[in-house]
Amino acid sequence: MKIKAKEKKGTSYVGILIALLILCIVLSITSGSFLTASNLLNVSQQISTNFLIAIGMTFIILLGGIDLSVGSIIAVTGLMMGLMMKSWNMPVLVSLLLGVVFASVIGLVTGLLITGFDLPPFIATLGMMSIARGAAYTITEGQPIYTFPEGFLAITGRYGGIPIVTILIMAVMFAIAAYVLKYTKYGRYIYAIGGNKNCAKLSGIHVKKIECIAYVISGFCCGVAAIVLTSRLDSAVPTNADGAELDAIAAVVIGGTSMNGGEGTLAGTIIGTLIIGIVANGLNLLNVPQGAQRMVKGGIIVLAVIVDVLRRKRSQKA
Amino acid sequence: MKKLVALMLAASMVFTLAACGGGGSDGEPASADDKSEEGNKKTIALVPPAMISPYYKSVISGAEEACEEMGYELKTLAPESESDYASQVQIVEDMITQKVDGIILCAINSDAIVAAVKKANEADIPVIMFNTQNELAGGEVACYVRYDQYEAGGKVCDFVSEQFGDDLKVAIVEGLPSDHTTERMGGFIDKAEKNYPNIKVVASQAGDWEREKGMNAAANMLQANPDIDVIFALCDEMGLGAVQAVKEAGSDAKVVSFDGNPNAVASIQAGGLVSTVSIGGPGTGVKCVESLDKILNGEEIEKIENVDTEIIWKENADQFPSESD
Repeated sequence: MKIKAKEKKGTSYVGILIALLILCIVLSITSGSFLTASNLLNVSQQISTNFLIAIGMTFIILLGGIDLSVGSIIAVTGLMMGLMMKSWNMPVLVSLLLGVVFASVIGLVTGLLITGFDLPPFIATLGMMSIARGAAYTITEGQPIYTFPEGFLAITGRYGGIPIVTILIMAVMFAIAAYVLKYTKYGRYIYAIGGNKNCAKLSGIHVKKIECIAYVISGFCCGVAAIVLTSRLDSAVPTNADGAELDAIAAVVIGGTSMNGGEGTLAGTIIGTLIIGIVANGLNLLNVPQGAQRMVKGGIIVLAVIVDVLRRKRSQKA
Repeated sequence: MKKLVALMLAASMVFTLAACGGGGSDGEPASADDKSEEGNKKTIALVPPAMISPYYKSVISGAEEACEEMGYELKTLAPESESDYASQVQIVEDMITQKVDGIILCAINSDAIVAAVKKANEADIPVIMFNTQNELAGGEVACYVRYDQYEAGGKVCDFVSEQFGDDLKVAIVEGLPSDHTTERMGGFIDKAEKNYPNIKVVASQAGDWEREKGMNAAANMLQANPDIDVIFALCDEMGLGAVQAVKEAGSDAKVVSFDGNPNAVASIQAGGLVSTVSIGGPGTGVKCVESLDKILNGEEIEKIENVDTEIIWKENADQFPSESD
């Protein structure tokens, strides 16, 4: 019964979908080059990293947790894959698989820290953020890795102007994650735990296992994001994806997921990443100075949460 | 059982961390103690804003060479991130406590560093700063070793007009707001306004000194102005990102950048970037140590020493360190 009620609230992303549409209309009018195929394809590549890590972040925030380590995991994973491909001459596919496994294991370690020691997720992932970033600086002594094999660059290559593989990766990741959240027991448990942890525990859900798996999922998403980002830049740098966690959290929050957990949708998150990406792209097109750009971005985050709080209050009254 | 696994994982992580720390800041105090036993060799501290940038690496390598030649011990330490000015101040303070004989410094934040410089003054340790455009508001800095980035920005403008004519549409990829952004960009723009009225800056967006953001900014500017002839990225990392963006957009825009990093030189040789600016990294390191040497020997020195800048392009690229990976 409870799950049914949640599902109804799930349509809450309609509000921000309208906001996104308004944004697009305004930009189409103010900038002649916004609504062109090539620009929209650019945007799809520019949001790819944030899109992928925001998927994992949605699982985490739905549980009432947070993952600050995502940016650092991307950086260290990118370098690991770089080492495998360039220094150890491993085949591209094997390097990528091992890279994703590596990122998932980091997520597993974070998950075990949180569930095994009852560490607050904020602290555990803050620690992991620093450890992984430090490891990224250490493994190549701060040196970037450049010039990757063709097969690796093909992942973000454009075919007929379209970054098909990137878009495909994003679509598949989204489809799987959305299916898991909506139609599997695991997904239900996530909402249940985020809604009321004690209640979930008492009703026999193995809370720690579910939580732990969520951090593995987040790590996995970082691994995939590391592939896309490293391929697109044709370089792995220890500073890659610095601050990416904040953009991912912002996307999830703009998408209407409650920071307290239990409420929110993956579709909302995707709209959130689109809004962040399109705002950045649009302000670039309009040649807005950088100080003003930051203010606009901050304003949008605050505004989105205000709207969300108001909506929630209204639905409680009803 | 699960708890045990978690515990073991945590423990192994702590040890790995400690092992990794050996090469980084954690290991440093230990080596400081070694030094006092080593005898009378004088020690110079070099504190760049970060270890990672190839520019700082080249300054360090220049300083290392000079120190070896002149018989100094060099101690290099930097904060983990180029924005962490609080920990840079702390590193300088630690160096003062360790009683180094001279400090070479490039401040992340020239206001925050004043307090640390004052402490060095109190301890009678001479301070030399490099890559700092304006004099500090307080504290005594014995010598500023720098390059004129405003002038160098102008050189870039001269270069593009020589290569591509003086009727150009230019887009600029800016760094974070700082002296570097203002001076490099200002030098270019002022030179264009004065000497080449038809070189027009049609767009200017931030890339935050990072490759990905530089790439995005360049892609978006090309989108809004497909007829851009030249993209001037204010640092090599953003320049290399812009090259990717140009390639993706199928545009003919030429990318010029700034810093003279080895990977940028490699890109020039491979036909990616058109040019970059050598800001004399090794020369800066040598000049810093030389100046410090003079002070420690009681000689008078100039307050400001300029290291030459030079455009690197395909004709002279082989004279500069190049490294593609």
